[in-house]
Amino acid sequence: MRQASAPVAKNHKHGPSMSRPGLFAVCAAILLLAVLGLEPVLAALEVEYGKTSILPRSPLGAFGLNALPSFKLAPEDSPFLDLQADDDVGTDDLLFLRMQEKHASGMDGQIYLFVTYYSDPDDRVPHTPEVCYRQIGGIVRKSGSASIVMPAGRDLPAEVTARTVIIEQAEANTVIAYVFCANGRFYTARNDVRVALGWPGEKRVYFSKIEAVTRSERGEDTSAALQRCRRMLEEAIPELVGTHFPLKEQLSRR
Amino acid sequence: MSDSRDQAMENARRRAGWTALIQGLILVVLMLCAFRAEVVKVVEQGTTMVQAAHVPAVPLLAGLLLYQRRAVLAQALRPGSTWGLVLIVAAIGTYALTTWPFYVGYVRRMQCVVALAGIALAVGGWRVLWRSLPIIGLVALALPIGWNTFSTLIIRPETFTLDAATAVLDQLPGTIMELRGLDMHYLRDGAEGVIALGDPHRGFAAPVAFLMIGMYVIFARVRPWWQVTLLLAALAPLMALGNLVRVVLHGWLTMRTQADPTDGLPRDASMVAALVLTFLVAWMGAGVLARLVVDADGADELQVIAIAAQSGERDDASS
Repeated sequence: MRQASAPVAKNHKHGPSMSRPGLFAVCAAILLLAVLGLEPVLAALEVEYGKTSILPRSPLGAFGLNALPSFKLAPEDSPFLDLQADDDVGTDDLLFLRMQEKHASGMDGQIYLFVTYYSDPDDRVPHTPEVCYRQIGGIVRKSGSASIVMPAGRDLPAEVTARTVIIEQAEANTVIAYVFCANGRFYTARNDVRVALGWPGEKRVYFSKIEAVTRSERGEDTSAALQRCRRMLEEAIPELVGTHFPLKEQLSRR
Repeated sequence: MSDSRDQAMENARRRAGWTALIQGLILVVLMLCAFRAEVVKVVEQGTTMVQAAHVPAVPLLAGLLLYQRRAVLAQALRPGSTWGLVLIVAAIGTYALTTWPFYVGYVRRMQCVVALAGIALAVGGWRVLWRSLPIIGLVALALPIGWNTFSTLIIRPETFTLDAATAVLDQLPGTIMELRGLDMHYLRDGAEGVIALGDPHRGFAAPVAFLMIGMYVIFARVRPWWQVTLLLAALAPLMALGNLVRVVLHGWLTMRTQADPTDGLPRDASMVAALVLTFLVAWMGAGVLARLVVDADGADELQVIAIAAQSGERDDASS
């Protein structure tokens, strides 16, 4: 029997090892503990330390158009993209504006500003345009990022990095710049938003997706459209942070 | 005397193998129970979502791989390593953290794979973990990737495949193709129509199924590492080819039958045909390589392991 156990006797070079029955028992005990305790413990922790919601200081519906000096409301009868605010965005607190560059006319220089605000910590972080537009037949042709310089202001960073996407659709290209804001910090990835929401410290949470959408004809250089999106975010973000989103000190109070 | 000693060793090895298998199964069941919230979600997705339709095949393929690799796994069996325990604890910890306070679905889901690796390591040691990697890899492929990650990964292959499929179909006599968004519009013998590729992923979750088939064929047989490396390198082109064939066939069948853009028949028929073709190409490629190595070396990896194990036994016996 001594000889029979020989093939399983040498394993010192691969790190610490212990007799198999002992190791098996410890693994089984730990997994059993997880089976019995993981869900109740996490539920109890969430009840005790979970974050709560916070409403915007001012509803997005009250967004002041004066905050967008480079744009005016677009004429109602000339939509340049058949864009509708989605019914299942998961919030009623949203802003959906169809604007146009101040000195443009007709369908030129039109742009949508689409902002959603979520105050429930259990709300799902919305999909990004790369995902949504694919589902309605768009092909993502290019994606990148754009730095947007912010004016000096309370709770405003010096610079915000937005994600840019160029999507080919049946009629024309759609050019988009978007950014997430979670508890006053800006992100371009959904997972970063989730981590920010869970990060210890603040007691209340909110997050928002801020999206500028414009159009570029097929074969046309997209730099003008991208610039339009950047300018929209450059003007909209300070107003949103300064007037609508909760202040940082409000987030640390229950 | 020598025969009875060999018999005793063989019996001991067999007993050790069965013990490890039973211990492994118990730990896997416990792990599935511990991560039940995520396991239930994956099973639900696998039975209801078109883009996760490959998921139900995974237990079968993993079981088959386990059976086909049983000899090499038995030979690789060593005392378990406590690093396996470390992996299991890390998986439970990460699963807890990504449940609350940081909900990150894909990372949470992947902890099943980390725990599975930990179980292999704890039950059978490093060599068993190494030999089990194909099975663990198949399980990893069964876990649906998040929409954003999927979209990021698929953008280039999708664009390439659609452009290539449009170009191929455009070569058919009397056919003019145009790609608008993810849909192909055709004009063929005076008839106009649209080839819509279907579900929200437009069928572009299919590459995972092609990848799974390729992985299964590669690892269904124990091969030398140079073969495994060559075949793994061939997986990406194989996946692209399978997907291109699927889209072209879908388009051709739709035009041929003038089917409605949302008709499921061209989509399903093209998917099945592409899966069969992928399997055949992978199987033939792997078969040719296997024949080459037997001719060249006269022994496969299993024989080499058996010889090494016997030599180890002799060393142990003499010491």
